[in-house]
Parts: sequence; structure tokens; C-alpha cells
Amino acid sequence: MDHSAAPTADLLSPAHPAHPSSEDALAGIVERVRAGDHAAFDELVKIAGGRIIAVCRRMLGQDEDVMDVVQDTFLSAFKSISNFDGRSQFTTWLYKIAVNACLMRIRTRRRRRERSIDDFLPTFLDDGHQVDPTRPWKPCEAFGIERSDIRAFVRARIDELPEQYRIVLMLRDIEELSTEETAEALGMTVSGVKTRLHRARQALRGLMDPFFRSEEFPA
Amino acid sequence: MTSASPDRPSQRPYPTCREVLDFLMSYLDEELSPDQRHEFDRHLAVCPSCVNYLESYKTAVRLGKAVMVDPEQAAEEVVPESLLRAIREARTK
Repeated sequence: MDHSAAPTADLLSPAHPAHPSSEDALAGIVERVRAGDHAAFDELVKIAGGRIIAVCRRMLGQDEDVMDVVQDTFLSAFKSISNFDGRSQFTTWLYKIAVNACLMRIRTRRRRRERSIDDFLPTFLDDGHQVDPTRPWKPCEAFGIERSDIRAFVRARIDELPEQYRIVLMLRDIEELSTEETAEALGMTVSGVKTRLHRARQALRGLMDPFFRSEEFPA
Repeated sequence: MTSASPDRPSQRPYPTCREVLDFLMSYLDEELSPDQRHEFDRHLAVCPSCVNYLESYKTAVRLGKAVMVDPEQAAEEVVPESLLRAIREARTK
């Protein structure tokens, strides 16, 4: 029962942190665009475009209109760049626009049937004990996350999350925005983001649980 | 798990599984006070179910990260010329 070690220090450290040099370069380009050098906007798209494409792909999945949403993101940014006040990083501001563009796109999709988040959360007896004791999972090393069927399985479970929870999970755990940045991007409170993230993680765990329990995991 | 610890009878009862799992993220993020953390650790020391939950919660987060960082996406550092052109044309209209 080695639960005493600081558990999330390595688990949640940024896998792809913001690049300060890119941020500095962007700040300079933003100033040029704001000063009327509209051609400089191409440079801005080249530097920031990869991450915006990635976040849109992750948020929209296999949506065939991902590039349209990326284009909308940059056009919105271009039109409103005079409103960027520099209080946040430019990429954070751009993320907010991209997230909103993705959310708009998601809202226009035919609404899929979503199960309640409660279906995936742990349940408790009146005395506070878990109704069903949690059984251990097979260690990751035992099956290998490089297996394509495992990757597809986990992606599918993420896709099953109710949209408002999936989005928070994507921004915090995948895109590695801070809680504050996520709150800003989604127009939520910091405590609201924390609550929703915890439930999203619990739900993802619950969705995967039947398959990763030691005795039930397929070889 | 709701009765007082026999060796520390003057202390509060153990937190319940519900309390531990509800505040698990705060525990992992080290946002609990030392006293609260101590209470969590006391619970975990005698509750294998919550330890299993904690470990699988961490694994779920790790798996989610791992599978969503797609090597093909990582390779997509270069913005397609077609997208650059489309943005350029749209903003100059």
C-alpha cells in the first residue's frame, strides 16, 4: 500500500509545456500585427497553428471540419487582436478563441445521447463506505499502452464522457492548461473547474474499470 | 471506517470512503492541510479499496494523457500551406 509518495508530482507534470521562447516571439509578432503589419499574421499562424490544430483535433475528434474551425479561430483572432490586452499569454487568449470555436462546432452537431455523469461515479452506503469495493487494476506495464487496441479503447472511453466533463479533462489533463487558464477559457470559476475535473477523472476511471480489473482484462 | 481509531481515541473518527474519494484530487494535489492529509493517510492505511481506487484513478489519468498525445499529431508541427493560404485569403477579403 504505497500511497504515501507524492502521487501527482510526476503524473501531472506538463508533457508539452508552453515554450517561453515561442511566447516571446508571438508577443513581438502580435505587436507588429496590432501596429498594422497584417502580413506578420502569417508568422503567427505558423508558430501557433500546430498547437491549435492539435487542440481542435482532440476536442472535435474525427470531425471532418477541424481545419474550418482552426481557420475560424485565426480569423476571429485577427479581427479581435486589438482586444488582446497582454494580461494573459497570447496562446492562452488564442486557446480561449479555439475552445469557443470548438464549442460552437460541437453545439451544431447532432446531439448524441449522453449518460449522466453519476452513472460512472462511485456509490456509497449510508455509512460512507463504497457500495462495491474497488478491485486493483492490472499494472499498465502488463499490457502496454502502445497497443493500438488499448489506445483505441481509452480514447473511446474519453469520448463517452459527457461533453462538459470531457472538455475540462481535455484542457486540464491533455492540453495541460492550468486550472485558472481552463476557468478563463470556459468562463467558469476555479473551484468549478476543479470539481468538474475530479468528476471527469472519476468517470473515466469508472468507464475503464470493468476492463482493467486484473481478473477481467483481455490478454 | 467511521469509528474512532483505537490508538488515538481522542481524535476525530476516520474520514469515510466517500470523504476520501470526494477529496481525492485535493489529496493528490497536496491541497489538504497537514491534519486533513494525516486523516486521509490513516484511512488509506486500513482501506485497501480506497487505495485501489486511488491507484486506478492515477492510472486512468495517465492512460488518458498517453493515448491522446498521438505521435501523428505531434508530427503536425507544420501548418499546412493550404490552411495558411485560406486564412490569408479570408482575412484580406
